Amino acid sequence: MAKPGLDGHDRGAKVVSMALRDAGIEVIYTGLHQTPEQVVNAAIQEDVDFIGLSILSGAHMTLLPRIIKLAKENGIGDRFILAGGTIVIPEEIAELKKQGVKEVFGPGSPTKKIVDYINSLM
Amino acid sequence: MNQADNIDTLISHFLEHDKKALARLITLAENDPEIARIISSKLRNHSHNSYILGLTGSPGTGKSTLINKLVEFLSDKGFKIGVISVDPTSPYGEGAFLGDRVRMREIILEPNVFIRSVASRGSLGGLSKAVFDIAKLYDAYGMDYIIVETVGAGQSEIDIYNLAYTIILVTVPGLGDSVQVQKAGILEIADILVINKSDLGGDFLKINLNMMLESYTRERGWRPPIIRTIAKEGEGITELFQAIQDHREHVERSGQLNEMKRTHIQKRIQVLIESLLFKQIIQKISMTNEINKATENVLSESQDIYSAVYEILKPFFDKIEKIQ
Repeated sequence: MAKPGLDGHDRGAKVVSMALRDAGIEVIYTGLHQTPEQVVNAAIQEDVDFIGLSILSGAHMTLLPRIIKLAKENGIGDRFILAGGTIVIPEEIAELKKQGVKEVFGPGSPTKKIVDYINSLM
Repeated sequence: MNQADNIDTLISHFLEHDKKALARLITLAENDPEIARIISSKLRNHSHNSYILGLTGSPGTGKSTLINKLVEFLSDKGFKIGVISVDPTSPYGEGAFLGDRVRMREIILEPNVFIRSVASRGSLGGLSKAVFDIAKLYDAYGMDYIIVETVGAGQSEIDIYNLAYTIILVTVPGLGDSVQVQKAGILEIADILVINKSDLGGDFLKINLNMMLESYTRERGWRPPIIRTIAKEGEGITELFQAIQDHREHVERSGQLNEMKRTHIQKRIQVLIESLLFKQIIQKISMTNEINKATENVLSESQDIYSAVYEILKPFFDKIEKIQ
């Protein structure tokens, strides 16, 4: 679970992380202000199945494609990328999915829905 | 066989220092004992004699921050470092919140640094099997230093005694001070004592620690130095590294290092035998009904707990007698 960029609102990321933990998932929490390089490096070393990105700064259309590109360049394009935060415009969500985001969980997404989705892919 | 091909490919990438391969081998070893055995066998001749440091201490003492600075220091000197960060698994399930990386952002991009978070996964007595397997992988990979950060509660400190060559205990001023540190066994296994967050005090703590070090004899011929640090500022790291060097030189020169390696392996073999035997027996015998019945008996006080357990196990003990 990472928060890329300058966004400092981490309550959502923590809430989701705890819910995932309670559902039996091991969550590597990397904290705030992650660069795309830091996110991809952590994902490589921890050999994660999913990369969770929480963005409430509005910078998702810049940050997410950058992270996806870097992930592919570093050989982990096969990991599932999940995004959450203030990503609500349908056209943007569609574009992000086209670029490689596996699923987007917008504001108010029930944590159970996220857990079930993750379990369905494993 | 497909699986075997994959492992051989992974191993050849691993030997070329591909971090993805290292990460994947760790995952495979963590999740499948059979694969762990295969990997371990293929890599048994690849030891680089990595030097293993253990960092232990209560939560909140700044271990992760300290490690971040220490790794930065070592990395600048050109060493390769592998970090294992142990965080507890939730006692209610299998999940875990592994947050040590938050403190280590500076070093994570260094090419010669690798950090892996490990959930303790409910292992009795501290360090999970995975920690030992990861250390072995790091060793085969060519790390100069392996740093294991442990939870610092319960018995994981004791387990670090069976893995690391130099054990560093991290304390901070004001956490119950000397009494807290004197928890049975912890102070005695430490080779270096660090008082972190020294900007908050620590003179009194240092005096107390020194007094305690005076009052018991140590067979290892080594008086643990007390290093004052302010991890978040990077203060005291040079002194810490010097203390590590000094201790390392001591254990190498005195032959203790070889003794430790031998003891560690012996202990490991014992632990593995016990755990595999246990698993085998439990797999073969389903005792749910017997356990439920025993629970009812003990609750209703028609049987005491030890008698109830003995009754369940008696048939197996009888069979084991016959084996001899």
